Amino acid sequence: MDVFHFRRSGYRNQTADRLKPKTPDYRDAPHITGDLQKTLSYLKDTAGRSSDFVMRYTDIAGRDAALVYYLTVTDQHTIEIILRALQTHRYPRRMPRHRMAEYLSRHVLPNSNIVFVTNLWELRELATGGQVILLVDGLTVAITVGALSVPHRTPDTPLLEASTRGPQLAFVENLEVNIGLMRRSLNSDSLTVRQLVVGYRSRTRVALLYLHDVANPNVVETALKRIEAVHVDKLTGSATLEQRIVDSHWTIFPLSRSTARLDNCVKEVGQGKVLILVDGDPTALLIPGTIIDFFQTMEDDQHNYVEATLIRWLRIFSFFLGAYLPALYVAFTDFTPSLMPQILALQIARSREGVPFPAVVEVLIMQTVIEILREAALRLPKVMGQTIGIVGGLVLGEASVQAGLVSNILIVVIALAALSIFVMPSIDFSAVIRIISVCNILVSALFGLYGIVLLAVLVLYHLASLKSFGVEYIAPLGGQNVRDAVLDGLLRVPLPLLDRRASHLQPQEDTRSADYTNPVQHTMLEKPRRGKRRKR
Amino acid sequence: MTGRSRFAFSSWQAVQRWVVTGVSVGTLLAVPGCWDYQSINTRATVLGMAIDPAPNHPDQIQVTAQFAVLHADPSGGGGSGAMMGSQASGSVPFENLTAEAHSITEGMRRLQLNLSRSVDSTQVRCVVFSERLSPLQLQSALQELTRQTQINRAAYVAAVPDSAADLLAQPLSDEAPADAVAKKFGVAVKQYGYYVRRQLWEFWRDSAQLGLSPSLPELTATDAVPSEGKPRVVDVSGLCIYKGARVAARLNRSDTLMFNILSGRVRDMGLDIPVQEGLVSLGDVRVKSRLWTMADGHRVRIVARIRLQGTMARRPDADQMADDPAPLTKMEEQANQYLEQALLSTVRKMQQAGVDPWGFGRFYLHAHPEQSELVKYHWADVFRTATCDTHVRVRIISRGELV
Repeated sequence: MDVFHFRRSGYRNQTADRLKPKTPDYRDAPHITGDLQKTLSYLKDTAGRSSDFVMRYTDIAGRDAALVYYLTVTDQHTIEIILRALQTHRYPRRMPRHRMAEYLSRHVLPNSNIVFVTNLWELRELATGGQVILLVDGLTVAITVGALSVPHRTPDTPLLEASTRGPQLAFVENLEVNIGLMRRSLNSDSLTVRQLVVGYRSRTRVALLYLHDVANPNVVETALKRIEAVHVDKLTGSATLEQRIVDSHWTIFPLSRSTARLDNCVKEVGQGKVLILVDGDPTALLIPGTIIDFFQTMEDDQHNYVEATLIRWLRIFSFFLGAYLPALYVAFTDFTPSLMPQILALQIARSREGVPFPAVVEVLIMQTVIEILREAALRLPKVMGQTIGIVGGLVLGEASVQAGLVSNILIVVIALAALSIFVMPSIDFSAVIRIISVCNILVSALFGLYGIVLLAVLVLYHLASLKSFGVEYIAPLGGQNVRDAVLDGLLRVPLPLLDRRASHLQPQEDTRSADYTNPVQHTMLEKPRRGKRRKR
Repeated sequence: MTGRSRFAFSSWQAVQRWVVTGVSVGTLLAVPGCWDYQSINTRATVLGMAIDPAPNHPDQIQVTAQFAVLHADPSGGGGSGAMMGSQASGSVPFENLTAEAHSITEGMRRLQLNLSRSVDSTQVRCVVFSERLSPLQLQSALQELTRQTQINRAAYVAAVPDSAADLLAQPLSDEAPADAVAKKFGVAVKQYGYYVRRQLWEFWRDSAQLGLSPSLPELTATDAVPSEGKPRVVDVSGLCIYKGARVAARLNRSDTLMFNILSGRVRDMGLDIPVQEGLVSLGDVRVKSRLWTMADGHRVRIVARIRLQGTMARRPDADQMADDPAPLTKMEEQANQYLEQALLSTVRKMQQAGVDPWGFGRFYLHAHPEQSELVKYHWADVFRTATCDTHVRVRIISRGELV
């Protein structure tokens, strides 16, 4: 027996050793034979178990017919329009059976989205998707008419990603609305939408949006193949899809950028990225995701280049504060206080007099308190969330210092680290910082400053080994795309200079804007003529 | 390569990878610095140290360590010898402990026996030597301090004429005496020129160099307000220059200024220079100097070229208009002469004492490395008879006056 069999790399049969769902295969489903009663009895036995399944009988040109639909997902007004059209139309006396479906779609039904379907399994799926199915006795095809009507909220300001300037519009749970918002913002026919269905029970629609003449086709194809390969019973949102299609399933770093802001998506799709929208989830995915994406927002473009650059540096600085400050406190306090300025060391030592715990326990206590407060503030209603913040910040912090559980300098350290994490524009990346912070605290408690350095090397190694849909995760900071790293990475130069797209995404078209030359330099306003007074 | 051998190769690679990872992790975890847990609150931080000769045992030294008191109510403790406890009235409480021993290490060990926390001298900020230490005691103390890895070699060092322990026990207004000394030589006073500052490693380096006499700033504790007894301040009274670990010469404050001018260390300070008409005051004084030594027949000539630049702050002839450049040139010439005389006087004092605090011998050694024996054993005599060629060029910047 080959004990290293599991290490064998190379081709892997995608379906041979997979678990298979116990749902009937659509290939085994029967087709419509033309016998209306037989078709209806099949639908009764399958879809008809639901109480919201409706079969409405009628006559069409002397033939028995039926409208089949789910009451809860279809628009009643559309159904009434269909019925009225079918029942009030003057049909020709003789109409060949094989031309009847075409006649109905051309001359009778006023709806725009009409599809002919023969497979009964497909028919069931369309019915659950909000289509009205018209079955006529003697016809071997069914006519489906789109009548989906599910209430959804209107586009509103983003709940989590606030900005001070620029568009304030976020996606909603409805896929069509989201695609419509994108179309309105990117008014170009090169914006391509590819829709797929994922989940053999949930049948969730997933849409890929990209500029077909800009995005790298390999990224698009890779995303399509990976989404098609997702075989799950239900897809509950973009996060579950993201975790299945990214390159590494074990990393803590987000390999795609998730956002609900429309302007972010418009910018990134314009850069050559691919947007993935999942029906029922307002959070969109942008692929490929690189680490620099999590330090940028669309808001950067709304500000002066100096301000935008400084804000980016502030985010980078905040990242290091959030990830390393509590661990450095532990390392300096418990291992190498001589590396601190003596006055600071003495202040810390005085503040820790009487604290019964080692520094690491002290830090972990306060970190846990902060996490509890954060989770509580997230789940509670807004008004109570503010109360929790005040209670946590003032009462718990002050009381724990007074009780001698923690030192007052630690409160400053933990508060600063917690606030720094919230500077990050990405919620996913904030979670990563928190995890790194806890790991840093643990290694600093064991090995001091030396452990922090070791873990930093390990994290860097891990980052350098990651890829997102073929793009290095550490790009453009890896050194191969210096232009991207400088012009629109660590800095954000004035927009007229950003005339090319980011090269690390390898877009098909790298020219973003033609060279900008100011057509009117030093505008000369008309001077008042001398010697002539204005007439009053 | 067959499939079987490829699997064998990959399995060997996997084993290699795990072995390399294990050895690397094991090695990294054994590196010094790892597992060095010692909480900050278990350390007794030494702020400053004073080294004196032991009063009753001529072969021993008296080590005084100033500790920061972390808790509000400092408990008493005593050294093996006379204990001197003190606490400042300000925000930095401290405690001095004293022990007599043959070495600093032994003294610190004795102090440790009287403490409930481990002594931490990695952040000692100043070390004060008594000028009454014998050459052997000073040399052994200096070597011991520089050899110990747990001593901050960037600590400021100074000398006191009498008891160094007394200086660290001075009741100052709002800070520990060790802090006051460190601040004095640290960033508190930006102007260089009033005094010389030395760090431990610099004093050790100067002591080991050929053709250079090591020097230390001399500290005294004076009353802040002469009419009252308290509080007192730590003041720098001058510079003491060592020869063979024994104090051979002292420079007062004005001579220390000349020492700094000759060394080119004066920056951003005011200076009054007497000229024929009175006193000219210069501000923003900056000095650049170039020193070298050359052989001059059977003697040695030490050469100093000094450029001093300052902004006119007060004219001696304030009643005259400043539109004529002739008086300014004249003033510059008179300032040149005055400074040359003053510098020469300072150099003559050092020559008479046979000490070379500027390191002219070092410059000579650079030019004549074959005469290292001469510099090593006879430089004091050579320096004593050296001719001095000092040239000062003063440039006074006068920006005119408001009419």
